[in-house]
Amino acid sequence: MSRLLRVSARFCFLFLPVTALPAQTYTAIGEYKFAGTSAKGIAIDSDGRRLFVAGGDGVTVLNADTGATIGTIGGLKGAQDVMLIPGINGEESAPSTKGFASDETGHVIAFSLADMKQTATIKLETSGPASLCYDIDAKTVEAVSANGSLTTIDADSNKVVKAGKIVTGSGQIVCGNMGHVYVADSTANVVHVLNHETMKNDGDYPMKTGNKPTGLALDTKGRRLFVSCEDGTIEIIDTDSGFTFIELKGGTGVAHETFAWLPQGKGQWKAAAFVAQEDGTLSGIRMNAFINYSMGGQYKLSPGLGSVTYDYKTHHLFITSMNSGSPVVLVAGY
Amino acid sequence: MFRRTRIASILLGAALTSCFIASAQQILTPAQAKGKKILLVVGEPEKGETNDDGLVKKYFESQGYVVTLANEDDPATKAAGQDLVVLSSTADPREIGDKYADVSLPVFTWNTVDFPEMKMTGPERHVDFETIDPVQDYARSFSMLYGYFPNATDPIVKEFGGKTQMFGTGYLLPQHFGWGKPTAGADIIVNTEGDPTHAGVFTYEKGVTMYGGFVAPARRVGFYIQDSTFHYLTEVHGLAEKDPDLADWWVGMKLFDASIRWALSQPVAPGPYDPAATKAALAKAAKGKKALFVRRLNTPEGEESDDHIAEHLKEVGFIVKEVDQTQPQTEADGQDFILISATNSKYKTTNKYRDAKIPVMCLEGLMADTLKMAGRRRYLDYGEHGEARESEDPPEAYLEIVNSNHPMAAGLKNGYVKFIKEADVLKWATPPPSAIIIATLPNSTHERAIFGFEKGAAMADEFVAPARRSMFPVDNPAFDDLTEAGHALFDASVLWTISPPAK
Repeated sequence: MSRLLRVSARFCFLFLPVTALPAQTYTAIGEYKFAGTSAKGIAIDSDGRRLFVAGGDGVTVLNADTGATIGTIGGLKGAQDVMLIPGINGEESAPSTKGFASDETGHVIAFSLADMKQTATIKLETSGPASLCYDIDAKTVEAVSANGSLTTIDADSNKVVKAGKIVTGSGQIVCGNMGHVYVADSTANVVHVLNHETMKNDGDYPMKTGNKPTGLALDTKGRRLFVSCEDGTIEIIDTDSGFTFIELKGGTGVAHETFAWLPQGKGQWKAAAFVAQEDGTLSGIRMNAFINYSMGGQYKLSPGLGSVTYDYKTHHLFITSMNSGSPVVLVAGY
Repeated sequence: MFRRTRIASILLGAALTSCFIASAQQILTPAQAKGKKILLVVGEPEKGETNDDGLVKKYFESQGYVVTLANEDDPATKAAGQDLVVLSSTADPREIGDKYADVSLPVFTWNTVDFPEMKMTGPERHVDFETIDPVQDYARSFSMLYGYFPNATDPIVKEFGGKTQMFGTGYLLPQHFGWGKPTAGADIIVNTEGDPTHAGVFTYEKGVTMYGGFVAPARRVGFYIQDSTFHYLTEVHGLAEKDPDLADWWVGMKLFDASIRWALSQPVAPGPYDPAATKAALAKAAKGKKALFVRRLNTPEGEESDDHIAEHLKEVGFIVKEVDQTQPQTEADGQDFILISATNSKYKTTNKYRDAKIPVMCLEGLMADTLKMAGRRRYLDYGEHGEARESEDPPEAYLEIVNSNHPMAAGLKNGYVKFIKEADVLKWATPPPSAIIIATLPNSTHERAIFGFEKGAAMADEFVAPARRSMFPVDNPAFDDLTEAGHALFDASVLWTISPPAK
């Protein structure tokens, strides 16, 4: 066992299943510590077994299996978000070769996964922290500034395709179908539906009973948007109608989410949205059917959880957090 | 004395005319509804089960209503000082029973099993009302996701711009629903399961006849949700909200909101029974209007009666043009009103005047199908009483008024009214739910004798009424045999038919 992989007794709670189905249960299985001042966005290169963590010193690259620091990607201070462009080889998925990261001053960089070098810098319309998502249909990176702008970047050329000022929010963003970018706006208590093709707002999804939405995850096949609010409400929205058809109880505080198909492998859950929340609650929203979701389990980690990403190879979750003033990545698995 | 009475009648007639013209029902705006007091009657939550009563209360409060909760075993006196009573299905129907049936406040209820106690439907489960269970009735609970507005001219549907078409009642999940089969005096706002008699939403105006002859003490609304389905009422947000087809589909919440505000609004007050005033009002409205009177010319059958109808039309001010049933319908060009006599043969009159863009009143009940006022099944969708060898029902002289507050009722109270002096042939039809029912044949509530369609309402086969339509059962030669009340009903029906449609 790696010196950085510490199995902590306090993580040994089960990821309690609500139903009696023999679902494998998540437990916290480790914690990766690394140098730096903060840990915010996180992305995983499952094929290359690397984790990319955005933080105060830029993007730190860790070994996904051991937690060992492999290197850093410079060019950004106060990195906020990081994402990798999924590789495609014909019809098949292929290892990622490229990533993007954003900072807190309105900049985005592109970097190569081969040598972890910055390959481009893009200045956004507005300063302030920005979040990133990838539109797999348009093959564009969408950068949403919390200060009110949307920038569409061609993922191949790194060129800005479109940019404009628009009302956004400080919460998580996700890219959807038909040019949509969903932005959680805790101040307005809505999720904005931005259209990067028209650079206009196509409408807002109001919260049904929740307050202060911050976390988002999207199932683009089922067109379900999972919205976690700071007050502990998780709303599941049918994006075709903007209608909240299920509400669940999550943790509290700022949330980050990720969506995964077959998160426990074949024969287990069909899909899940995992929610990491500021109070330390990790929630697993289980898909029973496209119209049926339940709280598959909740697991209490230490407070201050940040972003979460899912590893398709190991079915582990990696969550950024802070431990005694040091940035860490928590590992949950089974 | 005569002069004074005549002047009073003329004045009353003028008032009635304006009442006919301004018969559109007003619904409180959301701003006007703010501050209204609602008594929400709920039951004890079942252990381990959730319901939407809390959400409903929260929603009402978000709209500015002042909500007081009552339990199922609280006395009805708790409603004193309130503006509306809302009965949740969580309240035990055996506990609340009929205690709110005669409350003179409007009642809005989704306690389907209590509909009979509220006199809103008959007593038979699965026949007069039904609750649909998503486990027991899995497929039907899906079919209940689709509602149909039969009448876009209904004030509730108009309030949110609804159209005569289908819509999504609840979110796409098998859910609990309820429906009722209201009496002829009700307005059916929503049909469910493709059955025109299954009402997902229905209303009773104050004063109309409910089940068993019970007269509505105030407005009543039945709604399709159940214990935990309020939060599934459809809404639309985001891009879909800007697409009129999608926005018109997910209107469950708008329907709920408009229905609540309709219940809280001022009911339509019935006019007084005053045949002279009704005739004076008709004379004011008819003056100078051109009426096409379609009859069978040069035939002894009913000729005298038809002559008297024509004379009456002229007397009240119509410029009357009389044509034979076989003449082309271009005869109606330039006319303002068409009256079709019962002397006409349906076989010879064919489908004429169905598409006329001017008001049509028909005195021949058997033409209900060709005029799209009912289905085509004789003796099921339309028929007659008292016709030798054609009806097993005896001749009849009475009608039962069920909608006394409608202008077509001429101010007559609900209940039996002697319509013709001697029992004779009376025709009936069972029109689709968009029809406004004024009178039925006694002891046969599905056999509707006097009814009308507002312009734009969906008639039979989804035919949209090009102008107002009405049916009035004066078989030949019964016009001469009409009682005073019968004449008043005739004048009131003509007056409503030629009056401007509700906006």
